[in-house]
Amino acid sequence: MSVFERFLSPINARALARSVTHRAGAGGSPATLLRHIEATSVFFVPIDKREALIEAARQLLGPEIPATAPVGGLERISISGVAVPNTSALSAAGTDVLGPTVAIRMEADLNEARLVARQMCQQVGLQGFAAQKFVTAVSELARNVAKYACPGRVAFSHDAVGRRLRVVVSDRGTGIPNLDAVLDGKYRSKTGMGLGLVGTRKLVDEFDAQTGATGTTIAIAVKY
Amino acid sequence: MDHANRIPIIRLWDLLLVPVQGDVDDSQAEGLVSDVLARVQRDGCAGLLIDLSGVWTLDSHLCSVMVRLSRAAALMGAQTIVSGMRPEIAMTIQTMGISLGGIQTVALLEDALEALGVRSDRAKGRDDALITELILGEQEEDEA
Repeated sequence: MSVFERFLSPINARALARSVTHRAGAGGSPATLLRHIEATSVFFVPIDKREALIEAARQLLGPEIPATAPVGGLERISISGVAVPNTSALSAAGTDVLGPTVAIRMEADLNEARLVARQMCQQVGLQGFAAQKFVTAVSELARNVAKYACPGRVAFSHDAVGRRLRVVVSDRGTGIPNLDAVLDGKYRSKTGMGLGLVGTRKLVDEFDAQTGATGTTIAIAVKY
Repeated sequence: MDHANRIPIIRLWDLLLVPVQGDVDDSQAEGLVSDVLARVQRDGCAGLLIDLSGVWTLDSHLCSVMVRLSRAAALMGAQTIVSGMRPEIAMTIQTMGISLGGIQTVALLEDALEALGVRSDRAKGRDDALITELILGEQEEDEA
């Protein structure tokens, strides 16, 4: 997958190659892999290089894959100034730009969630401690989904007006029992989930959690 | 897990050096615990140095894996020292209230080696020269 290095910095190329390798290892078809590359590249490959990267990847994976493959396995939304649907108390009034959505089906998908979180930070110039907090928070929330409530999704968005990065992590699991006690730090599960949630809340500027028998939605935002 | 995704484990005398780099996924972390413990047993190691200077993100899971690894290694007679934690990572885990469960942490890999009794002869030579100079400096000048 050294083809990525022609278009990306070595770190980004390696990260993308790894996320593609993970998907391939998990039985992803060439078309799924290409769609993954397309979806990820939207956020960190300059527009003038993006088509060349995707074309090069297509040559590598199999030229027979159609250029406009339907988005099936991977949930993806293009970055085109669409307002975020009001999925939580944290959604802003129509100033958000949708970012990528990462489907969480297994623990290997956490790498992609962290990769996208890191790219979002780069996009808005968030660095150092602030970026570290954001990526760690995404990792913690995505892990809760992977561990306890698979499948789920991590939806990124960007509020350029309010200067915030937002993430909505949702699943259709059986909910988090004792959520209030967990967030008060009074309760910790034997598997350590409480620590991850309480810790995440300390890392972010805004935190909202809704849970019930049909699923959990946690929305976070960090200012930049 | 294929070979390319394994975290390297490097033997240094009776110590094991584990440089953890980049984005560590869960299967790598699990593989690390079993690989390191197997090596501790096979090589009879007295110390385990985990260097985190190249790690991108340290979340609660990776911390708990390191704590588990260090406790198991301690039962097998090997002391664990973590080095090279970057400031933003240290601040993040401190903000989250994560504890490293008593694992000794030091700033540099050199400090970790020194804590386990390994010291560079070159550094020692420099220190000896400094002491000699402090004690005998004037005398040497007189001779010159």
